[in-house]
Amino acid sequence: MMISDKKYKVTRKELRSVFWRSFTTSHSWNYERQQHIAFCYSMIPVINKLYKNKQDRIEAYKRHLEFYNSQTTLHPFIASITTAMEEENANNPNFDSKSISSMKVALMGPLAGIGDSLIGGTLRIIATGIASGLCATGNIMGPILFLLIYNIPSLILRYLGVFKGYKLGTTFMTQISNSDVMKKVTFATAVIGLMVVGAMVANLVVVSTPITIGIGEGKVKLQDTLNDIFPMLLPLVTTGIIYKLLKKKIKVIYLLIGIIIFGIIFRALGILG
Amino acid sequence: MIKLFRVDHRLLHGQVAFSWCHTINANAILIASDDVVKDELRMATMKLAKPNGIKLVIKSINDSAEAINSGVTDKYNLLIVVESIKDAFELLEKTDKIQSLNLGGTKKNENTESLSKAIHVTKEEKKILSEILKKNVEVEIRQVPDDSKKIVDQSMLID
Amino acid sequence: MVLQAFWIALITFLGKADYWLGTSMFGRPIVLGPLVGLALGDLSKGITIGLSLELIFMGMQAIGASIPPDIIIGGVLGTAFAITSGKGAESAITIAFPAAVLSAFIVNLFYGVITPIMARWADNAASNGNYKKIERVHIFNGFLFDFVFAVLAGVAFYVGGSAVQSFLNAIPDVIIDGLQVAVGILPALGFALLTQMIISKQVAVYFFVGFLLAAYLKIPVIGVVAFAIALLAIIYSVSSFLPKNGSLEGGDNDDF
Repeated sequence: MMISDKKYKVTRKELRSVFWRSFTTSHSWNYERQQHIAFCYSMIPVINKLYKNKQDRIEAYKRHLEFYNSQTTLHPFIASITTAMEEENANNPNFDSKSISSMKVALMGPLAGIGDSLIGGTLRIIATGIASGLCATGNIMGPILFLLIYNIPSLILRYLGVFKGYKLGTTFMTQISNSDVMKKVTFATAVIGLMVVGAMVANLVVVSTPITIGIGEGKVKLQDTLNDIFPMLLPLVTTGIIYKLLKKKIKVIYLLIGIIIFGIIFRALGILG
Repeated sequence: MIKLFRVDHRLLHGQVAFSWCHTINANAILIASDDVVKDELRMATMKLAKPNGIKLVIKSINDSAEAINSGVTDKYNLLIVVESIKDAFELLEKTDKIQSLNLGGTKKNENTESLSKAIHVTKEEKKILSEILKKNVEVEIRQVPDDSKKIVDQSMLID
Repeated sequence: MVLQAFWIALITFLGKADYWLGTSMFGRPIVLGPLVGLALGDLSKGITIGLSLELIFMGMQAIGASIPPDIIIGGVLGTAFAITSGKGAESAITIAFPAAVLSAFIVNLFYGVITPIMARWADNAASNGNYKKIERVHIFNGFLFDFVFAVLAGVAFYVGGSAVQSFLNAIPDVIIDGLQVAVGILPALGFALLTQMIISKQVAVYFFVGFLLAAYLKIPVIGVVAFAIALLAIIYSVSSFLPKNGSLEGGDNDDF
């Protein structure tokens, strides 16, 4: 619990610094410790405010140069929970600073999973899907809309993350985990995400056939017939086939090359085009 | 049946939760770790990150071995994840139902050498891997399902 | 020509510097394509090619720590050469893929060698309590990364122009036509990958709902999103609880 008569305290100024600095999450990425430099960078204002003793600062800098990787939108949240713990550590000589590292480890993996799928995944899909119609006609509002749809929620999450994390601390995580919230959010985003992808398959996958059946007056364009029975059937079937192949663990790179070769052959044969 | 037995210092995260679960059609994940069972926060966050429709169980290494040996896990397509090579060895000592070990990610520090981009092992760990190989358990390195299996053999573990 | 190369370099720099700016998707083809179009004098082509490349690269995001092809370089150079050669999306892909794959090697060089070396400088700085140096390492390393790719892209554009033109002209029609078909199909790969990420038995049907709304009722994606939200509101008001989970879920730690 935050007691207002603590000797060492973090103010809104430091939290704002953390907010801004955490935009740089993937700057200096590396295989070894991944986002560690960026994380330390975002904690420096907090460390300097809380610890006046050089040795304490050194320990803290080192602590936050340990391996770190999570979804960037959630970086402010993790950093602010870390801040709350560092504040506790600075004021309480009996606090075990190792628990700060283990808390980071506890949070970063799972939050990365959630963040990658909800934000990097679903939110981005929705933004792309909505923008795609405008982009396809060369309208500049397309890309602008894409950026807005992705970034407005993202910025809100960052902002809430940095202030909520600090106030609510780790009990917040346990509460969320025990409640239904995540299930509901995952379900809702899955519904929206899948509907968007389904719609994009109909709008943006281009597969059609130039085949005509019959001769002379009775000539019928196969594609017209297909369109009458089931519009966008070919795009759906194509996507379905690729999906099945993926499930059979065919690697993405093979599918890519395969599609290119398939395209060339089937176009040459006059089956598609 | 046990579809994948993986060492990953980050336990349940993006790659593991989604790519691997999909590839092996997992419907249950077992986290075998003496440390995690004692840590409320870690368990809570992992429950948050688990994919929908997939059962998540967190047990100590002993309890995990018991569950596997008792056959209770046979009806699931099971993904087992441990935090370290040491934990993997401990589990392998207690059950012989596992034929293969996937090395997905281990941390790097000044005492480690790299077996691959994401696998860094200390001398201790090399010895442990060697013991694991002696049990006739396959040891392979793959970070994501799309990677090709890099088989670890004794020659890679000599100093 | 030099001016154009300069813009290409600048746009690449912005795309890479997205990592400084919160990874806010400035590096995606759907954003960089229009910028390239603006720089080379054909904004609308930049937008449409940007979209094509985006759809094709869409499913190939970085998951966790695995490094995919460099879509920033792919996006910029693919769009740039498609515009300057006066050709379409199939040419953009022909350039974008190899460029993205080759560039990934240099990305790996940084991630695997150069940045870890600089990370040591940060470690030393930390041991001395020199936080300003840690900050400098962070800032310098990242912007060096951005700068290197900006230069590479600018040079590639400047030097490669005529070679790329001849290469693209030399491709037989049968292949170009085939690639056009492939360009139409490739987004399906991305969509399939994305579907795999999100899908589960309880929600699978919604893919088809979205598809049917767009295919039969010709509703644009934003309409589909509105529909989805309305659908969710109905679901929540009809059942105050979530759809039943499969029998395997239940309490997590039961039966084993």
